[in-house]
Amino acid sequence: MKPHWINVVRATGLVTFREILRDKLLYNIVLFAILVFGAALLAAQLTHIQPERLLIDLGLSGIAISGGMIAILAGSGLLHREVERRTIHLALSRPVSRPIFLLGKFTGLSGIIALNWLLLSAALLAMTAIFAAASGMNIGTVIFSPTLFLALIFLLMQSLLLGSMTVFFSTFSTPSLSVIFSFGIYLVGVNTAELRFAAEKIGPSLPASLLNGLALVLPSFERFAPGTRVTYDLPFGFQEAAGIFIYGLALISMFLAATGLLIRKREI
Amino acid sequence: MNQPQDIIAEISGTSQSFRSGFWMKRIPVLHNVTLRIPRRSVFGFLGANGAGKTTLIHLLVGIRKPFEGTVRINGHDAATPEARALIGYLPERPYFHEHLTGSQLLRYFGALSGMTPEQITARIPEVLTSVGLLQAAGMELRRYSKGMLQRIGIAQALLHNPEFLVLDEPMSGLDPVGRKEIRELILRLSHEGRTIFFSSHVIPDVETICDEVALIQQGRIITCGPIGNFLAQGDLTTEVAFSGISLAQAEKIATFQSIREMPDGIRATVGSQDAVQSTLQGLLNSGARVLWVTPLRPSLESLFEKGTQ
Repeated sequence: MKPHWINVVRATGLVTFREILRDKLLYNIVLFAILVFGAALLAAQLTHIQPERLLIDLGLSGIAISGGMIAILAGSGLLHREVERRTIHLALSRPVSRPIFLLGKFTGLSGIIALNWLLLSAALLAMTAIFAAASGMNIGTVIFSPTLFLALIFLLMQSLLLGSMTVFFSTFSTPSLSVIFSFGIYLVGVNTAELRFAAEKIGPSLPASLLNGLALVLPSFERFAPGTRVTYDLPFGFQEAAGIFIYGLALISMFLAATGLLIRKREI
Repeated sequence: MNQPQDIIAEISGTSQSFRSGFWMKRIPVLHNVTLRIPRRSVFGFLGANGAGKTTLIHLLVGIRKPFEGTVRINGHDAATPEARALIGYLPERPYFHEHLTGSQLLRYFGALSGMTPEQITARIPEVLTSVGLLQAAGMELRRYSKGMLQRIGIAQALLHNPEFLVLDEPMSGLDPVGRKEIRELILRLSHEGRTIFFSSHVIPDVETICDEVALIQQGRIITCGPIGNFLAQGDLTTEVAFSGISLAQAEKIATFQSIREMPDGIRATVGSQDAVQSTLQGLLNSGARVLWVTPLRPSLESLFEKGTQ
C-alpha cells in the first residue's frame, strides 16, 4: 500500500491537471507556439545556409516561450483559485498537510508543462524531419542529436523552475504581482552574464558589488538556454549537463520548500 | 451534566483573531469560547451573519488554529490528522471543481481522506444512494443544481464514514423542498449514530432537528445547552379561541395578554397556567362556545431575540 501522502499528491495533481487542461488560455499559448513553428518553417525556406538549424533554433524558442508562459500564467493562479473559491478549505479539512497539498498542485502544473513540452517537441522534431527529407538532407544527423535532446530537457527544466518560482510568489502576493515578479526575475536571470560584464566594466564599487550579488543570488536562466550550442551542434560535457540538471532540481526544490514553509503560516 | 466520555468535541477558552489592513492589525473574531458537543447529538449552532460561526467551524475542522485556547476532537488536537480523519465537513455554499463529475469528486476526497481505491469504489454508490444522487454520478458538477451541490457536499463529507459531521449552513440557499430533504437526511444520519454539528441562522430548522443548541453573538457564546431547557425557560402561555360573545364581553371576563377578533370568533392569550381554569370557567358561564385551547411554548426565535438584546 502506497503512503498516504503519495495518494494525496497524485489525487490533487490529477484534479489540478484536469483543471488547467480545461483553461482556454492554455490552447492560446499552444497556438502561439505553433505560429512560431510556422514562422520558423517560413524563415527556413528563405535561408540557404543551414536552414534546418534556423528551424530548430526558432522552434526551441517557441517551446521555451510557451512553456514559460504556461508555467507563469497557470502557476500564478494555482493557489489563488483554491483560496478564492474556498475549495482549499475542503481539502485541508482532511488529514492532509498544507505542503503536501501544495506539492500535489505543483505536480498537476508540472504535468501540464510536461505535456505541452512533449507535444511541441514532437511537433518540432517531426517538422524538422519532414523539412530535412524534403531538402534531401540526412534526417538522422539533423534530429538525432544529443545536444538537441539535452537542450529540450533543459527547456523543460526551465519551465518547471519558472512554475515553482511563480507558485512561491503566489503564496504571499496576488496572481498579477506573481506574474510580474516571475517575469522580471526571468528577464534578469537570462542576462546574468551581462550583469557580471557590467560589474566588471564599472570596476570595484558598490554598484558593481550589487550587480555581482544580483547575478549570484538570482536563478541563472541562462544556463538552461541552448544558445549557439544547438545551432552549431556543440556537444555538452557530462559534468556540464549534470551540473545544469542538478542546479535546476536544487532551485525547484528550494522554491517548493520555501513555499511549503510560507503556506503553513498563511491565513486562508 | 455530560460525562467526559460522552463528549466528542471540546472547545475551551478559545479566542481567534484575523490580521487586517496595511499594518496587519489583529481583529478579534472569537472571545473566550467554551463549548462541549455531546456524542450522538444533533447540535445546532445559531448566530446572525458575521457572528463568528464559520470561524469557529474552521477551528473545529482544523483548517485554522486558535490564537488562544484549545479545540479537541475525541481527545486529539483539532489540527492533527487523527482529529481530521474523524470529521466530515460541508462548508457554507460549497464550491467544488466544476469540471469534475460527482464520482470523480468523491474519488478525489476519498484519496485525501486516506481511503484505498478499492474502499472508494465500494463506498461511492453507497453515499450517492444515501443522498439520492446515484443517477447523477457521471454528470459534471457544473450541471448540478444548488440542491444537488449541497447533497454531493454531504456525500463527500460522509464518504470516509466519519463519526462527527460538521455542516456549515447546510440549508442555505435551498428551496423549501430542498430544505426538507436536507433536514430529513440530517435526521437519518443522526439515527445512524453520528454526531452532527450544524450552523444556521434559520431558527425553525434548528428547532425541528436539534437536541442541543448554542447561541453565538459577536464572537461570544450567549447561551448553550439541551434545546428542551431553552424552550422550558420562557413564560408558558395558553391560547384560547371561543365564539358566541362579543370582544367587550370577553374583556370583562378575564385579563388576557392579547386578544383579537377573527372571522370565526375571538382568539386570546392567557398569561399563566393558573389563569386558564378561571378564564375557561368565566367564558362558559357567559355562554361562550370554546373552540380550542392550545398551550403555547416559547419559540427559539423569541429566546434568540432575548439573547441578542
